[in-house]
Amino acid sequence: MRARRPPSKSWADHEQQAAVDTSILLRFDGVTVTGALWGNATARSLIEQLPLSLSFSDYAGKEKLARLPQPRSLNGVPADDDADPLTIGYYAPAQVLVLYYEHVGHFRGIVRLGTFDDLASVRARTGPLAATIGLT
Amino acid sequence: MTDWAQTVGQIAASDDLHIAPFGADGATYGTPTWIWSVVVEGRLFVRAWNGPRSAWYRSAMTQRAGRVIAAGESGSDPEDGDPHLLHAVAEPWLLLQHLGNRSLRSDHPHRPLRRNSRETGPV
Repeated sequence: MRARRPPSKSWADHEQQAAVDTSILLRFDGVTVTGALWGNATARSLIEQLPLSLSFSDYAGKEKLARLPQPRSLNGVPADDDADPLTIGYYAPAQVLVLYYEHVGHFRGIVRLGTFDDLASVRARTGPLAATIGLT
Repeated sequence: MTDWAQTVGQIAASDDLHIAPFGADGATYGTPTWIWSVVVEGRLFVRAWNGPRSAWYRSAMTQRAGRVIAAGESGSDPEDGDPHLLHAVAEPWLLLQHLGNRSLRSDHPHRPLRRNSRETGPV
């Protein structure tokens, strides 16, 4: 396997763009998980669509993913990124919103959008997960 | 040479194959996983490195379809990567039948074909 590459050169700009967080709530099965979305273009294009009701499913024992109704903007975000647990991400090739609860490595198409705060509650759900994401 | 044959050749040369089986809905997929692969007589075989209980293998055997990504993990810009390899990103694939032809022998000394090897081909 290839060695992990460092973030692309545009990452510093990306971080600056992401200076303003937007607090969100993720609700499912009577559980409310807090989180935050950053200020990059992809996250902003998601925030504009909130609240959203999405159907998540487990994928490969590493992430929960839900297909979004439309593709998100990728303006100015790195073409590849690395997602740690507790990351909210967008996997562009599949047009899915992702809650990462395991490390998946560095990969083209991953865009980090923000973070969520409760790993155990997300990881524990094994079946389909109907959730809403909204602003606080 | 067909597109798939070119892709198989690139995978063999790079040893960089990731697969993303479709999820339960038969369409959605997530972050791909690097996977053991070997090419024998122009045919691509994949196998679960951690055995048939691994998550990707169970998904693959349930859905029998997904995406293969060659060189997708590199994150390379087209300027500093091989554009032909990058074009191989996100080829759709199907898992074909169980390896039944026992006369096939891998010429890779460390990659013998095993019972849980599966041939992979284009949709």
